[in-house]
Amino acid sequence: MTKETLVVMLFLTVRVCLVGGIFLAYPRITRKGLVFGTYVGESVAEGEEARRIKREWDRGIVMVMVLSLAVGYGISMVGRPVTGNLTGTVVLLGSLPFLYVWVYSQARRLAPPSAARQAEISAAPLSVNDRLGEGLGIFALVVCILTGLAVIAYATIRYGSLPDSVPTLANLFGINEELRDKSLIAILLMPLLSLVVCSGFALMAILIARAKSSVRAGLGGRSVEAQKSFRVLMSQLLSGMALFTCLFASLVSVKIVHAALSPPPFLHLSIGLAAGAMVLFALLSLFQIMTGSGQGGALLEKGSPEAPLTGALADNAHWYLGMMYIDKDDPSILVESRFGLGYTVNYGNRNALLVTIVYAALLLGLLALALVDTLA
Amino acid sequence: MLTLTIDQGLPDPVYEQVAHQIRALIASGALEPGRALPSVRQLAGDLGVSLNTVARAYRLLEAEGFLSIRDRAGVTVAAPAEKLEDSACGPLLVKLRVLLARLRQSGMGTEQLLETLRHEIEVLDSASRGERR
Repeated sequence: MTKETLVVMLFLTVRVCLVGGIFLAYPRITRKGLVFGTYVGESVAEGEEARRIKREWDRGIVMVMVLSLAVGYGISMVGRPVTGNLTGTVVLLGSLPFLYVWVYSQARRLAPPSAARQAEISAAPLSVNDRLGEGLGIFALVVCILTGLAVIAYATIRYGSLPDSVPTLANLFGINEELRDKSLIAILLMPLLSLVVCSGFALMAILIARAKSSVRAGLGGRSVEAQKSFRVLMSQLLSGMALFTCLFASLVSVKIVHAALSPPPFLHLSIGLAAGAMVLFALLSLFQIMTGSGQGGALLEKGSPEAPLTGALADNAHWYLGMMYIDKDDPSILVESRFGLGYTVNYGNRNALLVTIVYAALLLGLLALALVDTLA
Repeated sequence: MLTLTIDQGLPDPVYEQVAHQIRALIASGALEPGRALPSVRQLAGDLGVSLNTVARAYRLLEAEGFLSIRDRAGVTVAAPAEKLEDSACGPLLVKLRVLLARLRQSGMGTEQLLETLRHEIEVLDSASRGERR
């Protein structure tokens, strides 16, 4: 077995354990009353039938993890580590939607008719100081836009002095592995992608700071405080990701120009450190939210008196597959997710739809340009 | 932490439920003068109702002298002095006199009228403690 095969298998194992672990944790950090994206009420969610569905989910996730590792290892060991890595990941990510739909359809049967009545009740905090985390989001957005534009300007200015071939890929030891014909897209793709992706992270952080509150009625503020705490953590996570990704992508963008002018090495210690810091920050933040707060502050509500969820979270009528929210009468752009971690877009809101389409078009447009440039 | 709860199943329109609860919180002192309230968009988003519903409740409370709506400061609880000087107080007192006259006409004595008023004030105060109607 080659060194490359071992490294690939290690990466696949880490990825499978991380993704599988997160999906195993999701039902345990969701808000009370919700089972796989369906509002079934607090007592039913703690009942035997709900527990049976959760056990099926656990077994399914473990089976998917074992299967993806077996496929990935098998293909890698017959001398095709890159294909093995890819196939293992496809098996993992491709199986999860089927497993989710299976448990969701079972959870849906638990939804009582009283959930519709419960959804008619909604509660909101009478507070104006709940845009916590917005300042950091705005700061991140400004930094990402300014840095992105500066890197684009730098690459454009140096474009004339670059040689006919430019490096676009390097291995872990910093050795150039791919050279491409010089083109504006080859040089500007990374800074443009960075601009779109990082600004997207920062914009999400700002929107989360302003997102709908999904609180319980009559809890004396415990639910509101939990919700605020979760919102701040999510907003900080996305602002941090925007800044770290911006740092990493900007360093890579500048280094592509430098490497083209004076190769090798392509990679630099600073890029490794930035990538490491980005990954570490994301993992630690996720761990903190999942163990300390839970979805929507669910873990912070523990021990508080029972009170049903109100509003969108208790309304099954506007949720599709427990994940997609469509309510044209709701002015919210973002609402709290029912399954997973974070927030989801209200696809019934015209502004939310517009932002999503523009953002997706920008990303797909850039990737299409890169593809056309590569094929040419 | 003060929360607002609406129930779409009640016969009262939603804007009246919003206005009633905010009015009760102001009258009981739970929402003090100068206190800022959420924007129309924020409150409508949190409650999952249309912008017009919250805007209508805020406009009603402004007309009654409970709220002050300014472009920069947003929506705040009106100061007591502002309430006294407000021209909306006159029409409200006229309405109160009409209501008292109708109750008197229905046969209520002074003691019964006072008892009814006392009870309604207690209901108003209980709303600020989060009790549902």
